[in-house]
Amino acid sequence: MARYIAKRVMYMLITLFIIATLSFFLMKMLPGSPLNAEEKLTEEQQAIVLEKYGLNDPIPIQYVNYLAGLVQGDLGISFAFSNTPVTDILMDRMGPSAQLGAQALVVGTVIGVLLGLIAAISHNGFLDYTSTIIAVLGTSIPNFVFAGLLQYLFAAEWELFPVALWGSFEHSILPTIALMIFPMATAARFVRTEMVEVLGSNFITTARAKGVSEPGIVFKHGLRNAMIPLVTVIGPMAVSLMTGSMVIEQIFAIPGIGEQFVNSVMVNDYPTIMGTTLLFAALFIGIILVTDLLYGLIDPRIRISGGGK
Amino acid sequence: MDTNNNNKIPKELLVPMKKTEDTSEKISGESRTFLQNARRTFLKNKLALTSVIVLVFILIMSAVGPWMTDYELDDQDLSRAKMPARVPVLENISWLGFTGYLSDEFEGSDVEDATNKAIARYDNEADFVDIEVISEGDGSRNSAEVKATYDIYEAKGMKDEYFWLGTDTLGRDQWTRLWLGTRVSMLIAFVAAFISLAIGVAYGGIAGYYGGKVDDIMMRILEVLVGIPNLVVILLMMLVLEPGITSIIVALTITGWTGMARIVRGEVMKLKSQEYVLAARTLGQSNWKVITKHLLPNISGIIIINTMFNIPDAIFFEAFLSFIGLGMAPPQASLGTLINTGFDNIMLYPYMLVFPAILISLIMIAFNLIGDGLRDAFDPKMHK
Repeated sequence: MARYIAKRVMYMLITLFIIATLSFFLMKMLPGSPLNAEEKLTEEQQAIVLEKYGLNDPIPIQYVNYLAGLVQGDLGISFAFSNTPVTDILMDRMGPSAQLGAQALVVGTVIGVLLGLIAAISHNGFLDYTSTIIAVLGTSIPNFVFAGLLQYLFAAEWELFPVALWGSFEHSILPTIALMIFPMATAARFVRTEMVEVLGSNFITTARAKGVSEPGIVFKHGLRNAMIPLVTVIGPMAVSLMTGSMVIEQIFAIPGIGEQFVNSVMVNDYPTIMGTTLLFAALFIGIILVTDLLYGLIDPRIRISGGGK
Repeated sequence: MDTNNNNKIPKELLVPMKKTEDTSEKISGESRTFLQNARRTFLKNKLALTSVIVLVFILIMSAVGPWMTDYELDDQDLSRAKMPARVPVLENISWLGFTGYLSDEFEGSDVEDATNKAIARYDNEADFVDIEVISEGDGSRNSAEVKATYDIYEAKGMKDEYFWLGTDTLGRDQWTRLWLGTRVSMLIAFVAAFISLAIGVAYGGIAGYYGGKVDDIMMRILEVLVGIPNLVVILLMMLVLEPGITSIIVALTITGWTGMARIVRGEVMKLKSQEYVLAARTLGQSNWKVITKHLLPNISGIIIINTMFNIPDAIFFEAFLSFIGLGMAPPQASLGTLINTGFDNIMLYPYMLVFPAILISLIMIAFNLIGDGLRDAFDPKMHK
């Protein structure tokens, strides 16, 4: 197992290295420099600005400096907010995004599992169809459409929640709902399919024959087995949360990482864009790694066969 | 007894059946091929079938829709900006929202205050604003409420014009832009999905068929590529490329084929060790023949299903990119840019968001339902 983890972590570092290299050279290819944003400068002043951003060195040396900075958690200095390191900007904006993401993931998954469970128990009944419809709508309709609908109805028309901005817990309710739709629908679909299969398997019949109570069968024997494959969809869920954070933070004007990214795109603030991209990449790769390890941990069949692939 | 009454069948009808050699061995019902079975299962799926009809309708509309009006994609005319939706006949049914009236509720300290606010809001055209008092108010702040209805078509002297879905902030006809935008989004999605399909099938097919070292190397490369989140690659590509249809397609296909390649490789590896492939090889079939005649038809189901799920993904990503300002650039319309404009005006002119949002949702739902239907149809367990 230790060897497996070491191998996976190394893969992860290689991938991150490739992304960092790729984004560095793409950044060099793009037009625009910090000088564009400044007023007319004398030669000496330009030299000072270039010196500040380290743009005087030849590109290979810049590359080495960039990588050395990365290892120390230094993502460079923002073009748009001069003198502010990108790392600081991202740290400042981590809070709202993390809170939203966590709330959406937890609430969405819990509701989704319950929906899937209800659907599986009332197999082919009315509740089954209802929750299937919810799941199809949730996986199909883009989250920004949901966000718009929620914002218009609950905030603008009925004035139940704040329209936008960030502050109290109430501000986070609508964005969380918009963001949790996808995890919820995905969880519901997966749990339903698995649950129907598990409930039809032999060990459930055995449990019934031995007189296990119905809740015991559903929760202890059924759900615990049906939840295992849910781990495999954490990857798509993470992607959906990241794309979601960009659009939904933009729609609700939440000062998070996604909103920062979209704004940086608008003003061509390359260091911030690259920093955010790297952060997303690292997060995603880290999540996938944890997912794979977790999968090995909770499914004994994989653990026994030596850590899976 | 009752049972006897029920069995009152004339004796002469009961003729002993003649047993002959050929009929007793006959199997009733003709056997169906896998594809016939799949088609039957799919056609029985009402949701999937409805989705096909909806999708075909949307595709036809995106082809002919823009010609149904006299307006062009980029006909800007600020004098007719932000006109609400108005459709002949349907305009008489008030709750449908095609009346061509703008309407909202206004608050003020008394009725007059609220009315003034309403009129100021609606271009100061007091003659064309219809005021309906909801609450009189007691003089305190925002206690009175009126409902104002503004006949903007009358006020602008355009009673003969019909903008079926209204106009946007620059006075461009939404109906025309909506269908042209759908056309662009669909084009991007289909082209991206089919390029991904071609690359993915070729890559996965070669890796799976030749196996050994070739497979090893190709899979190591793929593993690294899969490790890079596609969101990151797409965002980076969009930053570097000029915004437009081609760049979105390129960005989507660079990452889009990996999933298909993995699936196809797995299937090919499974199939190539089957007896019928071995038989074909023994009979001296060339590699090419084995691949095209024996392997491809057997993995076609899985390829089709995968593509059906790739298309809505591509539509979503196009809309997402355009929404965050990295996709299509104005005046080009796509579902993403239309939704983006809609969000800028969501509070005052919600109709600008509603129609593109409904359309993109319909398209996504239809593709997903068809994909589900096809998955069931190609699943032998579902055949009855």
